[in-house]
Amino acid sequence: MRNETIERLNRRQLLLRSGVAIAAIGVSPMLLSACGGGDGGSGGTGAAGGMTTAGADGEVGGAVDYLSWEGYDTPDAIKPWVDASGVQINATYIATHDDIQAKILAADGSTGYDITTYYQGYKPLYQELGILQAIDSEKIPNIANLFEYFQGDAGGFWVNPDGARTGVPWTFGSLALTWDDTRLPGGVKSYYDLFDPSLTGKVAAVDDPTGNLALASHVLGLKPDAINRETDLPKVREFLGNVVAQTKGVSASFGDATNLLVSGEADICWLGWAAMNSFAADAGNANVKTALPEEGGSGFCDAFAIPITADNPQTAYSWINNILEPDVNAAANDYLIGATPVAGSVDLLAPATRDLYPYADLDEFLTQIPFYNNPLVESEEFLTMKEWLEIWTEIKANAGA
Amino acid sequence: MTDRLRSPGTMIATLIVLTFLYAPLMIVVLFSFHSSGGLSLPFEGFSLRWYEDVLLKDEFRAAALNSLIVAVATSVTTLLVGMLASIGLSKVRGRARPVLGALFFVPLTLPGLFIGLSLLVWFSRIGLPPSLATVTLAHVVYVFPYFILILMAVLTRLDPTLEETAADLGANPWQVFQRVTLPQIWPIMLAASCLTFALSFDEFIITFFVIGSDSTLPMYIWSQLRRTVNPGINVISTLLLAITMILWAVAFIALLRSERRRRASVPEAGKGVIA
Amino acid sequence: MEQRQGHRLGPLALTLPAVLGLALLFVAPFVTFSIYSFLTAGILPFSVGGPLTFDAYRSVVESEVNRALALNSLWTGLFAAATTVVVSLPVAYWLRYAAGSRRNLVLLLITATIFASYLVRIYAWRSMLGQNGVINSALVSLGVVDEPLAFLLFNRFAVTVALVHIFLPYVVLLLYAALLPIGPNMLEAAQDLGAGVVRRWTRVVLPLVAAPAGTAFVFVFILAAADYVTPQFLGGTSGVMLGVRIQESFLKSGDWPFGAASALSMLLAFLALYGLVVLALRLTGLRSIRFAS
Repeated sequence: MRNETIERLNRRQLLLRSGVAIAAIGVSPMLLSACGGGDGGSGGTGAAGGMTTAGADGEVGGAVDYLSWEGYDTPDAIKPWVDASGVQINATYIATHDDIQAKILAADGSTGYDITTYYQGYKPLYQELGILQAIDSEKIPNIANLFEYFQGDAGGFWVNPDGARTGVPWTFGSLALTWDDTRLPGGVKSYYDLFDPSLTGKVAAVDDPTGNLALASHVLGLKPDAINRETDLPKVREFLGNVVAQTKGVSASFGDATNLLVSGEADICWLGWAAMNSFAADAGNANVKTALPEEGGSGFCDAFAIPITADNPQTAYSWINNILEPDVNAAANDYLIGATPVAGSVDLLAPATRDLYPYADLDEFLTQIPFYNNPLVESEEFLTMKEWLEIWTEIKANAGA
Repeated sequence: MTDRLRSPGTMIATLIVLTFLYAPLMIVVLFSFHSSGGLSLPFEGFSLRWYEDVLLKDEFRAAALNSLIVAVATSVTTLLVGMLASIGLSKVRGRARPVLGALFFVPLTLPGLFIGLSLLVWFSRIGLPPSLATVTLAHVVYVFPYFILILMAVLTRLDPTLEETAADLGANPWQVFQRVTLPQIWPIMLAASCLTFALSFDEFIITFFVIGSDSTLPMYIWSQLRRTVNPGINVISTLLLAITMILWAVAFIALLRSERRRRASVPEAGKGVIA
Repeated sequence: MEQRQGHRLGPLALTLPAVLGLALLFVAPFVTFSIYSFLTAGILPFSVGGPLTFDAYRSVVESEVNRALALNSLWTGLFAAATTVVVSLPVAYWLRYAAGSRRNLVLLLITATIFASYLVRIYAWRSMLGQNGVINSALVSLGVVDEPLAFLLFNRFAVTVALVHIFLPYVVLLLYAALLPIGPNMLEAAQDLGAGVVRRWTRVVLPLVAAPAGTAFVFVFILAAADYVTPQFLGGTSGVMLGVRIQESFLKSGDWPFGAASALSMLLAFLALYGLVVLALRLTGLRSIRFAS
């Protein structure tokens, strides 16, 4: 494996201390041992080949280290569980999804992250980086509560072809369009309506490279992990370039884009997200709505996972099992303004949240909001993640610079 | 200082600059009292609700406490190390002087991005997990040149004959420092410490790279800015402004008083910093 | 006299804690950082290895995006620095020569603004310059314009305004301190010799203040060019700076050699600028720049 040579050379050249499992440049010992070389490290191996399974034996309780988005720890929804099990949650909140792999890889023995989440597109990368442990499905009986689609190995997002489970989905939704209904009644019918001259300077966009690629690919009938550089990439560039040209700048976060909607600087947001409705309402604007135009949208589904650094996996198992209880999941998704993958939760949702997604015909809906993979890490044929990040920066900066 | 150099043009410029500097700050303070959640006009009325909201939040209090701890640790460390270093630097002669000067002042010219990044890499390399301690270390590197700059400005203007006389009269270096140097420089040290405290308290970019799972006040504000904003951030800023401005006013006045006293008692004793 | 010579080692010893601290926390990290810029990024993010190469630098220079961003950072830095220095000069002059008893109060007022939170300030400019902001609302209600002005925010103008706001107090202080050694007598003498305002400025004040003004210019330029947070919030589509790319290389794409190479290239550019300014001052016969002078 190519990486093996690279890591070995590096350590020989730069090793300052001997006999210690080095976190060389923020690469954990786990990665080194995963690649076959290494001074040793503790815990599981990763990457290709068998994954070790997180042990679920032992007492539930103690301190559990959570690493993910703020809000995904749904404090109110899991409060009964927290009180009953007496756990103490130490939360590390991420600012971007990449913080997850950055922090897990950089973690030395002191911070043993026990539970994290991942957006389905990141699965292949996390698999290759070997930062997740296999999850023993039998220890999470509530998996049976999920809609069938989410239980299985759809798209390989949560279960590997060899049967090893890497994640448990618990919330989903889709990227769409969000707009202020008083200034733009009814929104627009199609993503292409964003290019209307009346909307010039009135569109907001969010700086989320993966999200932008996923939604743009969806609109153009492409897949983010199969973008041909010659034939497909120019189309994506053109489309997103036109979108950004309609904006006054790409917002740094969903919250910031919501600010633009609230303060009247923008009327509609590309890469809309239902949660923005409630953000805006909190800020005093109750007229912000989110909906799918005729082309549909790109779906996102977050799954809980157990990092290889976990030193309290049994509590992580308990957390995950609990979040799939119908009433808990409904409460969590009400809070997140998300869609619930738990069949029994649908009727328990608040009407406003339930109306956002067509549960009555879920299968049809899932075809409208397909879940995509991220661009590949390395590829001869297709656009890679690194290339995309560079191109996205270019698109962000082009219109106007 | 005569009337002949009075120039209405520069006075108008100064007034404009003062207005420019204070206008956004007034807006910040004004909206901290906003009765609704928006941050743009129209202004809908006065209310203390956001003060209540912010001060009751645990995360805010934790972040504020952390910022306080880091700022105090940074100022104290910088004071001790910086005091020694600046006195040493002011007395060193020969080739060592420019080399030391360069080493001490170079971090001043580097934007926080570089300091933060190189420390991120370094701490990860030596296996030091990110925490408030790493933040403090990073802050010391950041504020140290400011401290030295201010101290050196004063030390180089001190009259060396005072110290030499004391030494000739048999005082050892510590006594010279205590009886002669310290009384002259303590007000400026206080001012410099206030500055380093404030710089550390408000530091964001470097902290962003080297902090662990704790939060400081700027990091807290940052996380608020990434969401939909409400006057809560104005509240935090108003509070910060009030505290640091009072600190600074105190230091400034102490500085002025001591300058006046010094010039009154020793008319020939060097040039003042405030003139 | 021997007593004093014995103490010669003393001052050096005093600086030892600082030197050690800086060696450990500044020099060593910097060297390590530089080494990274010569390493090769692994295929997977956050992995690096040998051999030592210039590849990262090559991609930095070849990247068109980088060039565009660097140029953007350059312009931002330039505008901010030039505006700040130009605006600060009359204020420093007033403080030094014409302020009289109000000097201390005004100095206090100006320097006190240094302590307003950096982040909140940026946001305050949104409230000032936005469509429903203070300035636009005032203009509309006074009838000066019919529609709010859209060009105040989300462009380089807004970024420059915010950056100037941040650096103004520092530069005023710097220039004021630079004018301190220049007694009013010099200016009065010039006036006595028949020099009008313009001549007093161009022949007496400016040459003496040129060196510190140059220092201030470089100082603001560097910090403004490297600031990527202000442009992110206020700059709109021209708000993408090199700094944010560097940050992303480290935290997002995990390409540390590229990030390190970008950062060091930026640093080299700053050094080059500093050298240029020093050269310009030397060539025009003005004093060379000194720090704590």
